[in-house]
Amino acid sequence: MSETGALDTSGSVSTPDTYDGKALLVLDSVSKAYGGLKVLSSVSFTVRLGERVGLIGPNGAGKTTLFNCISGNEHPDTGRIVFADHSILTKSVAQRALLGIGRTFQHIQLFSDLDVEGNLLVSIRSRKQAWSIGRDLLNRAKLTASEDEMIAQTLSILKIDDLRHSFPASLTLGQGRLVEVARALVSGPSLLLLDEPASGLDISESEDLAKALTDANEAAGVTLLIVEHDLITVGKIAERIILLEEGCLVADGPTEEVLTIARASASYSGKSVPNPASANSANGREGNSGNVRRNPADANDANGTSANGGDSGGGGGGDR
Amino acid sequence: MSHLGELALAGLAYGCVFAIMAMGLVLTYSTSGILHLGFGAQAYSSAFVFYVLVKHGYSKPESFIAAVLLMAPLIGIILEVALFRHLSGAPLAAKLTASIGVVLAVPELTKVLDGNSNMLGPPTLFLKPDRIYVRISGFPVDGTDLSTIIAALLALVVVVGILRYTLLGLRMRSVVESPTLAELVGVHSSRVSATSWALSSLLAGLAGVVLAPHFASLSALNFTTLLVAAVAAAVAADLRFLGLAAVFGISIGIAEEIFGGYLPAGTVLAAGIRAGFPFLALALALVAVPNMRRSEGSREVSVSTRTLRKATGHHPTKVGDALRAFGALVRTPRGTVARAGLIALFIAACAAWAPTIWLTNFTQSLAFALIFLSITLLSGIAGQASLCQATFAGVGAFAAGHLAAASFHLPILVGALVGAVIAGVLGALVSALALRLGELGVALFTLAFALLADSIIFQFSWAGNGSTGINLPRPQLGSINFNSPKPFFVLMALCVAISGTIVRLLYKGTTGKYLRAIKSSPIAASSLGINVNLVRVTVFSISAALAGFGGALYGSFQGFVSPNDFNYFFSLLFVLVVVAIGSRTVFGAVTAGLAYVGLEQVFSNLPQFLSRFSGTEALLFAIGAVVFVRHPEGVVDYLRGRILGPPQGEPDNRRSPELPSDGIPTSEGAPNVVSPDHGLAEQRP
Repeated sequence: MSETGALDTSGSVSTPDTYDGKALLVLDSVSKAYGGLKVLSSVSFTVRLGERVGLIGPNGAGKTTLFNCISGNEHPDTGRIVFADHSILTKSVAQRALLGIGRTFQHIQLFSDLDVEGNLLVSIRSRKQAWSIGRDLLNRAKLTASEDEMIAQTLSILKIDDLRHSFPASLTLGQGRLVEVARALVSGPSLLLLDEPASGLDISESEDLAKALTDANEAAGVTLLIVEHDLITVGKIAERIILLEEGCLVADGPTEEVLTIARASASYSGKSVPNPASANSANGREGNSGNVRRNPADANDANGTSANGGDSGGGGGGDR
Repeated sequence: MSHLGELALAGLAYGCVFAIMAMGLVLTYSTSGILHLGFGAQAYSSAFVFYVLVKHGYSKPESFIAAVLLMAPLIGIILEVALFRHLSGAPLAAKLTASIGVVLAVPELTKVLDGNSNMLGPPTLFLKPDRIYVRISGFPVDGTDLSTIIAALLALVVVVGILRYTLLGLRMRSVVESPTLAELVGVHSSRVSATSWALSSLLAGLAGVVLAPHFASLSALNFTTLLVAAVAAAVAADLRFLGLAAVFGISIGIAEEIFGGYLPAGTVLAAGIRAGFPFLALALALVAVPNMRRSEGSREVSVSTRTLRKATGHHPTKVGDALRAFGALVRTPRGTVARAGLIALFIAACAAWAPTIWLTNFTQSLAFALIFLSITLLSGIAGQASLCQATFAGVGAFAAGHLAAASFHLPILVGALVGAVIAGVLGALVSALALRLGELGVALFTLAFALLADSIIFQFSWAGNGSTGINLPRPQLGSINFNSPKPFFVLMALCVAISGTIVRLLYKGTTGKYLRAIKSSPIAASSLGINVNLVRVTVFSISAALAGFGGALYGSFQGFVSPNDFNYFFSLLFVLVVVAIGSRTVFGAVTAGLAYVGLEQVFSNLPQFLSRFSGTEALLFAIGAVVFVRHPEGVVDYLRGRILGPPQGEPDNRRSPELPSDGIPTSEGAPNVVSPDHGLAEQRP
């Protein structure tokens, strides 16, 4: 894979060593099991600087676990995670955040005792490691002009300037999600992990969010990795999609083509998976597109053929 | 029989009592999610009623039926229906506070009923206490021990039988698994929960009655040991496994006797081991059982947000609007200066004209206010629980006393500052050890630490010097002698002003923002790069230092302090006083100090016909703490919120859309409800 969305037509899973120096996040054979239940099976992929990558898959595919492994909330059993040339497996959640990994949560986690400005200020100060009890006691912890500007700018990108002095309890769910994104963005992360950002939003709110995230990516150059159930939203935001099924990477490639595979996947069958407007060109194409990096075992699975017993590195549904 | 065997057999009886109580704790925790610390007090109440009835000539079976089979379950049902049922989704602080309310209220109620009389020689349940009934390998087993062992075995058989072989047991187990699913298949989960509370309370009552004759007199303090040992056993059994809890309870009883038997006789350690061992066991169990972490941050906000909203509800009246306008005015910078001026004027007026008795009470109030400020910072602002703030106050006082004594001869104010530092370091250590335990674990760990300090640490001559205590001098600054009440009052007011300003500045600064962030969602705070553990340990340490400083000044004012002035009872009481009055503001802490001393004065000077209520002021705070469940901001902040509106920079919950009762956010609003899994789990359809 030489550039964003470019393809590995070899049919085999590329190893991270094949990526060039622009890789921001590298996952190499990450596996995780809860007792006997294998949640992630040797997942490998790379996210490059400035990319907007979607991570999709049916329930139980291991998306959130993978997310938590990247952010440090969970630890993989085996594998390697490299972020900005640092191996981050031994680092805590906070240390990873300080390296530049921001995240939002599936269930919004705003600080209810602080207004929107306070929520963003906490983010800025923690990134700057500006906590000093001495400064607090000298009453020198007031909002500075630069902090004020950073907050105003971020709120402006997300078009929620008017919420600056609102408390979380008074926000709608859509506003809350935007504020959570703003809080993560304001500290200038290199990589922003978004866990189901459109969950619970109506169509118009989802569209606004997609637009805001795309703008943020373009304006601030932040790399986005989005876990999303809603394929329409993810289709609008992501330029590349990784499809997980039963803990295995099934496909990785340009948005339209992976969405086509997702629609054909046995795991999605029985569900109506609407086409995002931008995916029209992919209509009618199924199976292993020439543009998509696919795990051989799981490719069969995605095409509706049996993948029993797939317990090799690439894993497969047979693990469970 | 070897010495070891003799000791083990002696410990078996105690272990059986611990086992009975531990089963009750597991039962209620499983069905209602509440680790009820009040079972010790309930055990005492049953033992008390049994004692009084037997003393008044009723037969033991009659007394047993009344005290254990009727009264104990009734108390359990009342507590469940009136209080704990409404706390199922409440934050841990509310559950804990309600439990502590019961811990303190029950012994106070018995004082009212019995008039503080000494209750010597509590009777055994059904055998003669001094008669030797059996000999096991030559070791005699008397009626007290044998009746305890038989009662425990019977209780175990009955409880396990009910749970395993009856429909009620099946329903209880289904509610433990999932109350919602149990409801769906027709199980009335609240009724089942009430039954489990009745059964647990019955077990507590039984434990109380069989434990009482092991002591020379009936005292509520003895039941604390029982409770802590039972909590240790329940925690070791992961708060889930009844049989295992019983086994651990018995093991703790046996281990306690063996340790006590092998330590050199006549030492403080040997004397304190009987009382201190359960606390060590609890600390060990907390550290050893990883699942104690699971309560971390769970079930946050929903109830408190709702109650807060009610508390600050808008009442559109002319007087109300005028008061709110006044509130807005006094919160401007000029208003703040004016307020400070008024307070200074009040202090000057008191110093100039108040009679000595008033000055004495005010000074004492301010000393307590200093200690209470530590709770404001830790619990009110940071949302952390500590049940050992009086212990830290004691550390400060004893350290200051030793440093001011002849061997060091430091000025007492310097001693107080050094004492504060020592308390702070100790606080950091306790906090660092308790960090991984989750909210409930931290609360229990600090309680265990308080009880350990009471029974062992403070008994050493280099610490609290046991009942002999320690003398502390009054300060002397140049020509100013603080022996007279006026200068000391001014000094104390100054110290409270400085400490209050420190707390206020921390609240307004980055520390306060971090604390509020961590309180709302530790997981989100750490995802932003905040070192949550470091912030928590630092704040715990500052809070302990504040308590230590307050304790030292209190000691200096009193002139003499002993471990009895800082025992666990005060740690619990202080928490109740602060949360009942107002735990979120400096003003609340000062008001709590005034209320505490004021009520103490009122209750110690009651007219003859009310003398029965003398010294029972803790009962009022216990009731106040129950009110906390509905108004977590405390009386003072509740009234301020109603009258003046919410303070600047704090959420105006009046604008909040109504939360659904299960705390699940809707698309219409209230998105900040923290889910039990911190939003980390994948959403299921």
